[in-house]
Amino acid sequence: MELSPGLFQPVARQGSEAEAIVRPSVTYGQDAWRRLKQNRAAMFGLVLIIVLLILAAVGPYFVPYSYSDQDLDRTGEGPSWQHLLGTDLHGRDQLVRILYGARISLTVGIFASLINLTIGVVYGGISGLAGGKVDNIMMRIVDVLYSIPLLLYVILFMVIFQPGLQNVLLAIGLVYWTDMARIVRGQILSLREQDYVLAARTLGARQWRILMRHLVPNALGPIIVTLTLKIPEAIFTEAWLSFVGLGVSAPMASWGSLASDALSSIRSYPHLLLFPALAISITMLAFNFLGDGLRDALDPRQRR
Amino acid sequence: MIFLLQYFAKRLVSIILVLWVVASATFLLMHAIPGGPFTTEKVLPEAVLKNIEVRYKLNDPLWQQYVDYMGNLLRWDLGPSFKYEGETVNNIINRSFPISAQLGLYAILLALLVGIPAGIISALKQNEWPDNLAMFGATIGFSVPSFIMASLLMFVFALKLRWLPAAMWGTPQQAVLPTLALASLPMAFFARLVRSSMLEVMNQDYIRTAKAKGLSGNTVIWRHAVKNAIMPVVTYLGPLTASIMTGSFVVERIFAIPGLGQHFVTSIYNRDYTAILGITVFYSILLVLFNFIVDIAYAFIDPRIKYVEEKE
Amino acid sequence: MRRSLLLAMVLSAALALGSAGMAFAAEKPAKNQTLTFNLSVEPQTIDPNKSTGVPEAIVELNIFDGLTRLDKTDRPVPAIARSWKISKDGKEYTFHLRDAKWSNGDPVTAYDFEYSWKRALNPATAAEYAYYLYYLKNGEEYNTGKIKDANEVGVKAIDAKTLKVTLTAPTAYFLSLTAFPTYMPLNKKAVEAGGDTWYTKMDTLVTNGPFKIVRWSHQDKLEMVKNPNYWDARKVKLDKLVYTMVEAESTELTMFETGQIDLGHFPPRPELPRLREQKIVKFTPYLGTYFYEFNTSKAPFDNPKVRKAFAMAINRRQIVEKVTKAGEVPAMAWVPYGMPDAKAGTDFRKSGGEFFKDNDVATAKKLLAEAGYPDGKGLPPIEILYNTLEMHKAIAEAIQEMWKKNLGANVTITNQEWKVYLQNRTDGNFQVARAGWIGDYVHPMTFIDMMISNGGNNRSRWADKKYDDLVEVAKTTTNAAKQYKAMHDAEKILMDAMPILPIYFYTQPVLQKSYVKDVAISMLGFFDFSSAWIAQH
Repeated sequence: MELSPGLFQPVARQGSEAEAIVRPSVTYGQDAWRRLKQNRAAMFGLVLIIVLLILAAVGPYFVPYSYSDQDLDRTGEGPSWQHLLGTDLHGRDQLVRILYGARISLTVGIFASLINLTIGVVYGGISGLAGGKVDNIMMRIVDVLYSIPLLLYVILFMVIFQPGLQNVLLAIGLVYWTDMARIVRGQILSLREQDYVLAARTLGARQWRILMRHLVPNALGPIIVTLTLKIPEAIFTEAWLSFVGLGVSAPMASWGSLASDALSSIRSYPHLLLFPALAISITMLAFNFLGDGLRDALDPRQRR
Repeated sequence: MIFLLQYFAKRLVSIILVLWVVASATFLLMHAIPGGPFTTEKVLPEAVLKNIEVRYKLNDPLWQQYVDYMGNLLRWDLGPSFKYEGETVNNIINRSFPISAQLGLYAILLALLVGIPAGIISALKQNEWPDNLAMFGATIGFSVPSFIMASLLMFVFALKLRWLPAAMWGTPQQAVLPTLALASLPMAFFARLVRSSMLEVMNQDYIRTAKAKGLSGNTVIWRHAVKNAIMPVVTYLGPLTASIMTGSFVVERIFAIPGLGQHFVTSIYNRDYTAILGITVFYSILLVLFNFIVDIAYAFIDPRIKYVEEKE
Repeated sequence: MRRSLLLAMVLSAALALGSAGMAFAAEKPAKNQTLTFNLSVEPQTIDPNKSTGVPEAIVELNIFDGLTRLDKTDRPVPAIARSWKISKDGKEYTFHLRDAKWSNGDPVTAYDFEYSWKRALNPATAAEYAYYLYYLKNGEEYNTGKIKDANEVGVKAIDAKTLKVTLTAPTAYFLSLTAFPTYMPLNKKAVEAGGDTWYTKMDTLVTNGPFKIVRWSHQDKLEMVKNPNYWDARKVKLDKLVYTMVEAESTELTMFETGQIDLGHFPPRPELPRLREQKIVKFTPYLGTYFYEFNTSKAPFDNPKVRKAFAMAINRRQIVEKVTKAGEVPAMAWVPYGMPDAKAGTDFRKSGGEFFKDNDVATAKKLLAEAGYPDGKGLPPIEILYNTLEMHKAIAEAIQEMWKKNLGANVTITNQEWKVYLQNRTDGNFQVARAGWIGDYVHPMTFIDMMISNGGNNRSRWADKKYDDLVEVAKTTTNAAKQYKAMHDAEKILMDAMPILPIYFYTQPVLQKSYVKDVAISMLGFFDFSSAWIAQH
């Protein structure tokens, strides 16, 4: 039997099909969601975060005080039936202030994670994957951003813009993804030389696809851990920025501000520190549970 | 070898560029923000202000000040501080950096020595009590920032228990609380990073294969898992070392430590121009240096990483 | 004049001896006479010519001795000057110096004073507080470069023991000024040998006060010992004096409670009620007024009725009791308590009285209605500007609520970093701004002349010719009755126009161990340790 090239016809393949030979039935996302649902700790974290978001959104309407109502004759009281979490040093209801604070702190926390997941991961990914000159330039830009004192930008913003949460988000957006970029880049540098990347490349996959489908999922562990580190950092950075005068104006206060303000009165009024700190810790615990679950769920090696 | 030298040379050029951009941007920013070093609550008479400006050459045109400053920077002459009469910025750095660096090194060592083993044990005993304990501790370490940690440590160990002195610098006892306050966050981060990377590596096929082939558990972990898990730790160590060795504003302030960290913030509040620039550039030098070391370390940990592109 | 002063001196000396003697009888001095005081910050300099701040003064006043020194009640008493003579027109002072030595053994002479004052005024020195010497004849001219010859300045050493000073105008408080750091003598030899940094090197840091510095560990602590060459060394009981530089307030308190320091002066506000109960904090008078400043060039605060309405709609008593908590005194006037009036022994504030009622909401509402804003209708949004500090925030939050509740105003509060805030106040970018004024010397003029039209520190943009005239009268007359009357009248004009809204008169909270005795705490914020001692404990 003679085989001539004419007998064969190349199968017309689109790039995306290049390696889609595994299982067409469930998508990556569906699969991950199925695995996430099986993880009890992760679901607990997810539910907790949803509850916190709901509380932040509607909670204040169920408390008969506003965050600014003062009663200077009842300052620094401990928890009572009238004020479930006590009153602060202006005689304001601590519960309603924490509920309002949740809006600010959760916004900042979620925004910081989005910035990290988008700019941080993509920037670091491209830098690591491209290597060489591009990598050097991109990483040196990060060094510059990292070196110039944040306080200088912040004071400049303060002069240019009206105080408000948007400035905080801007400041965080400017520099808060640099650690993530560095971590991702480090992971990619080592992953990109591995066999499966070579395989994907040989199969004709495009750079972007290699990055997003092969490299990033394999670096998820460090990404999620970095993310959970960056959330509380952003929450407290917001408190500091608001204190300096860039962020939210008093009497509105975030969890971070409530906790920092309570620090000087820790001996006489420990409950003022305890409750906001507890709120932050519970949120962090929830994010950690969810983060761990997501890592496992998205891990390509765990696909069955 | 030639490649390596080329790489070093290229890197050096980029480092110098970074320093130049950082110094210039900082120079511009600090002159763009309102207020100067001699903006005071009790307004100075104009003539007095003029005398001061002449003395510190603040009346020169800005570009002239910039050129002068860059020239002096090349000779590592950072100029006189505007705030501390009769002090030079070189003096301030020379005096306070060793203290911050010493404290920072203690903190990094503590964070590594506790964080990494904790992460390894956690991964090996996944979902058992040592894991739960370590991860609970790590979550606390994450969510409690250093200024609250510092205050709490002082409250408990200095005020309530009276085991340790509250503040100031000099004796080994005085170093304990600030070291703990500085180390708590990186320690938690290291523990979680190592745990997560280890779990990932341990699930990989080649580890399973190695185990199946009869390699003892410890060897497998040591040869593969730990080595891979250490990558993100090393990445993070670069900027961490630079920032922790130049001191933390809050920890140094709370524990009254005469380090460099306080100057990062106070120099800006005071518009102490020379100090702002000098300290920023100094920090930048450390940062690029440590990141360079990190990149070299990568190559040792993972020989597959190449920076020098061989022409194909 | 001289006789009465001498009498006062003898009397006060006897009193001092008596009280010291009694104290010693009750409590024995401890063996270890070491006192640790938290200065709280690193001094910017300890060159007396160049320093401006209170912390620097707290160092300098304990290592230098001027012509005069302030006593416990802040009156100037003879120090290096044994006595003095004042000319009839009040413009010429002749000081006679006592035998005194520098810490290196050199004699302290009139030349040392002449050298120091001229150095402070020399434009090349670029001293910020050079204007403290503008009282001297030709002082301003020399400092601004109009005169090149330093010899024309009104200070001259006739001989080693006699100093002649000529002023531009009779200055009732000049003897208080000579106790101020800028007026301290300097050892020319040492200063010239050491150059600009003479005070940082222990061998050129030559001083003539009760203590001398032996070690300066920057940002950490300053160690002093008794100066055996001090002319009044017998009076000095402490062997060692240590200043720490701990900035964080709660750290200072912890160090105080655990015995690392004996004396501090920045306890955290929220802890004050407890500390007061435990009797470890005391509140000493402090010559300062905490106030809000209106921008009188912008509506609605261009209307004095609106300004007055806002001033009356504040409950000051509640603010000092519930928010600031340091025993401050509600201020319904501009000049604080503690300053003399024309008649000896009377208090300017007490005789001047209060100008309006605290928390007078009814009148406030009436005034606001008269101004065209009944129940706050039509008022534009009001913004309070303050600089970043927890206490300022707490006060602003309280006042915000009071104005909302009492006047129906829509009030927001904004904080800014210190220098941005200063710049905005100077540029007039504010409606209401938080401010404070601390007296420089114990005389009402230190407050009155701040508010003159176009004065650099009057950022309210309020100007009143009559006020300026009265200040001028008070500054130039030698007649005490006329002088004080002019100042009282000026204050009345000020409070009638209300460009500033006084809130309270400051106090100084002091953390002091019970065994720390006879520290003289000045109303100007200075701590004088020359008579201090430690009791057995």
